[in-house]
Amino acid sequence: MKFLSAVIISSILFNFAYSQNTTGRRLDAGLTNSPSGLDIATEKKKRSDGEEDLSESDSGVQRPIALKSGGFSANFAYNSDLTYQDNPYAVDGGELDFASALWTNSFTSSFGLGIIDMGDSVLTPYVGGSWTTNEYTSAFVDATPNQKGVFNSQSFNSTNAFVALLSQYGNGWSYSGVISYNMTKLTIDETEALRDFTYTLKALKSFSIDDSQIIFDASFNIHSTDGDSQGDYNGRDEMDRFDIASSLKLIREIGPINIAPKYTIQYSDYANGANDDRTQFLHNLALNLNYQITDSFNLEFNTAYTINDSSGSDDDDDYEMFDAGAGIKLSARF
Amino acid sequence: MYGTERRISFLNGTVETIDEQNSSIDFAQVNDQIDSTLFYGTGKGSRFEIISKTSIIRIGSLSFAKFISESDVYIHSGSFLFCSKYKSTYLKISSRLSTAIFKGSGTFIVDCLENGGFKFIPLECDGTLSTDKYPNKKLIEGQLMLVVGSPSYLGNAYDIDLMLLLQSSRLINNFPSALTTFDQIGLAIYVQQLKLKGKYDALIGDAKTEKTLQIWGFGQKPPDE
Repeated sequence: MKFLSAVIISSILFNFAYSQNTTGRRLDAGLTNSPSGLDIATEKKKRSDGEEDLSESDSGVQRPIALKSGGFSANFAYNSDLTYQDNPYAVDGGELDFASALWTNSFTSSFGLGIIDMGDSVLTPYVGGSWTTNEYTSAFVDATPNQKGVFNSQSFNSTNAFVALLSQYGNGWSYSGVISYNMTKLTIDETEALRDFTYTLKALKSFSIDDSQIIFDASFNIHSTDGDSQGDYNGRDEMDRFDIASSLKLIREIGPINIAPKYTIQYSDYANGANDDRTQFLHNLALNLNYQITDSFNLEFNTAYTINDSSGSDDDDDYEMFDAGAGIKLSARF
Repeated sequence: MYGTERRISFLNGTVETIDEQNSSIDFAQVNDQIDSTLFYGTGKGSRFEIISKTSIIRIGSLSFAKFISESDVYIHSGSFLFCSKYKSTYLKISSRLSTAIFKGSGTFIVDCLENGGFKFIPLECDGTLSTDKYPNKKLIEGQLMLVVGSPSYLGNAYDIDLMLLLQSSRLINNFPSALTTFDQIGLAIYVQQLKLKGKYDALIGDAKTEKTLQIWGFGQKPPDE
């Protein structure tokens, strides 16, 4: 088994739709992503101490390190991203089909509660959460006054809390179970638009090929939702669904930059009300470029293209969207 | 007396066998059975591997050792790696001056010191190390220990960067087959990364006496005062 130190940054892209007429608000668009707090707890830092020129010896280089006495850890991060979205409300034409920029500020924390050695695996429980502001703006786009009004009405804050249990095996496979609570609130009137309890089981395996790292994962998610009855859906639980998703990610270091293209496919099956017969396949192709300036400060660039192919519902839930943005990340680990 | 279950599975370079009794020197070959009466010496850049039913031993460059039995190794100079998955493994390690007994299962590196003792570096272990003065010291993965003196005792212990050690160790990388305990080593590295607080800009060197240990600093030179 070879081990590469790499930075794994996970961008959370939430795409929401709102109609001023009858179609309501689309709060279920996009990928089901793992909680950002879990991502910062499990990301691996890039080697920053010039170990590329290793002098070898039979017994190896013996460099002293300082270790924590217990298994408790704390991780904090602040992200600020500005992203151009050509279809921020996830629609297929119509009056909401216009571009926007989204400015996201996210405060994330997570805590590792211990390290449990099971012999052939290591268990690590985590708890954490995040609070994110999402403001639609007219940066990068030419918006009409009406469209700017939509930006204001659609900006939202989201809150996440999670508990997770990770199990890492020596053969490279890891398994996790996560219970995540997400709440979305519109900033214009502080109304709660969505509550979503997501239950996730995920398997992940990483491989090393040459100087690249390849990460494969597969997950099963159940969403138990409570949504705004004035929106797209008549019933508060019409966004209840399960997802089956799988992704393949390549991470490669080129100089000081990590380049990570990723492809995700997600199948969703809805359960209730008007969405009873609805199923969809979502394809997402994303690229992340990450430049680690210091151990705690990263610059990143993200771009993604999403295609949603839906069937079985009264509304046209197909959409395509393109996103591109950049941001900074400050992080600390204790 | 021949160790009928131990044989050389890999050899690179020149490995000499020395018979103390009649001062004869011969050359070892792949598939040779290990003779417990002979000393084995490796030249510069030469290494070999011994496999038995229960363990793997890799001997490094410029090493001089005798494999008295499956559970008894004498190393005069150089280094070796030992790997066993069997939980009841028993191995007596003797150097020019010091002796220690390993019990349990695991993978570790022994590196001789100028003072006659040796460094004991567990990569992944579930076991204990006993010296004359300190019996049954529980081993911690990635914690280097000095075994010095006669009667032997444990010197200072240092947590060391396991990933760096694995990347730079020829006892790991210059052999064609992967160790059977690589999964466990991977977990030890994973746990160490979870607990990592920081790294010192220093490297551990040799120990010329029982009381001194070379530690080489690196990085930017401090300004002259």
